[in-house]
Amino acid sequence: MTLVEVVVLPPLAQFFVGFFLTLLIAGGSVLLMYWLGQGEEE
Amino acid sequence: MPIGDVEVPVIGNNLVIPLLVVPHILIAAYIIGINLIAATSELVGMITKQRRYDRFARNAAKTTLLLFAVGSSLAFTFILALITLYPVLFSHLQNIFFWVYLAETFMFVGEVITVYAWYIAWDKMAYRKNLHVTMGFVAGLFGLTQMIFINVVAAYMLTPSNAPATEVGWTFLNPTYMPLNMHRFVGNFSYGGFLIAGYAAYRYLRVPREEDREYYDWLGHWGIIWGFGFLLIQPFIGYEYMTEIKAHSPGAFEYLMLGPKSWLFNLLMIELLIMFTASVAYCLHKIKFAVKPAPRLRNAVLGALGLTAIFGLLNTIPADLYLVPQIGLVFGEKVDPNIGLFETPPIPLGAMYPYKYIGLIGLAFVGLFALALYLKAAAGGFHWGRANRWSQYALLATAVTVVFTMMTMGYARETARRAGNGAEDGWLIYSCLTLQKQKFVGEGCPSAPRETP
Repeated sequence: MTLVEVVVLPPLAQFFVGFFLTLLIAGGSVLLMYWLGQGEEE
Repeated sequence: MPIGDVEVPVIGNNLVIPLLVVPHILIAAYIIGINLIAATSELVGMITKQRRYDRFARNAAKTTLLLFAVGSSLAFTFILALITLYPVLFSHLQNIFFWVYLAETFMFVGEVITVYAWYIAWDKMAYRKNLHVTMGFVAGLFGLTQMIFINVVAAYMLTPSNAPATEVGWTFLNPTYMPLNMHRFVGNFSYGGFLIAGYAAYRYLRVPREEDREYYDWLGHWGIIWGFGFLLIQPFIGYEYMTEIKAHSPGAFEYLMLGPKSWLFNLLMIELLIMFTASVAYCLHKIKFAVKPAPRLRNAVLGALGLTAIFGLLNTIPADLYLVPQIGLVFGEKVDPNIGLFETPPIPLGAMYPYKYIGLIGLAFVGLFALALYLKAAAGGFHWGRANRWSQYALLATAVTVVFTMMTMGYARETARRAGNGAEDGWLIYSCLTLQKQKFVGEGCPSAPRETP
């Protein structure tokens, strides 16, 4: 038994949240690494 | 609290895993692909004495290092989430595939050590280039072997062997194991190649120095050869992969090809159309800058571009207008999921036979033809640094599309296990372990009936 009712988004909203969060996590980490790696010889 | 009773708010338990795995795969596939491409480039640079190959290889090794930590952090977090949210699945897989996981771990350690050593020793080993190139290939092979080991588990979850779990050979060499290996092996090169091309285009459009423009123009060409070259093989390997899924998990096959998620393959065809057309258009543009003018080659590639568009568009025609039921994009009757190969669906041109076969085979062969002509022109050399911005936009389009293609295909493989267990449930291991309650059902997987702890 859970003490607090856990609220979960409907499946369709989950899909789109998942899609954009995936892009955000993957894209964000790549951009961060790109920024960190800048300035060295190319 | 019983184990596995964790409930993640807002996004739900099911979304936690893909949120960690998809970014991980987008990074890991890039690392595997680019590591082997970079090692090959270093080898080519060593043989041809052209500095740009070495320059690219070194920078590629640097990006591998930078992204390695992020990629592996996502993997570790994913394992943590899997143990917490799906403990029955994880303990079951751990029992069957202990040796696979152990080997996977050692491959990971091997890759970390060699890829770092490879990058750090670039200058120190400048006069021992043979050894250094070998080190790059060893790092790449560690990454590749890592993928080959984890594919055992991934393939088993979709098409578990109808054999006792203790039969190591049967569980390891499950029906879709080899097709998945081939599909991902080729896919990693194609993915890495298109990303290189996209990055090169982005830099080409921004750098002011002539020397850099020449380099990034060449890099776009180098990336598209890998990306497009390996993409040409994918339709055949993908077909073989789907054939194995059809034979061993028919419910999953129907769910993807004719069921509620058939839009994924319509989407894939649109993505293939963009990547093929953009690649051939790029080749057509570059041939203009061949050192030896080749008007006949260019005309032939122009024809190939037209055929690519026709075959690609043929593939995108759906079998019915029941397009995306999940968002209400429905304009007509659904095709009968039990339709025979030679029967006509609501939209005749959307039939698998003969139109999709014609489209896919045509696309691959016309693409091969265009690439061969492009390579023939490239053999005589190009005037680098003169490409126009539209050709670079084509490269950027391939890079963006290949990322979406990876996401589409990853989602397709995992969502296929939604089939055959009611609308609200699915399988963690197909026809064996249920998704929501983590209950084992029936015989065959494992072969003897077993109760959930």
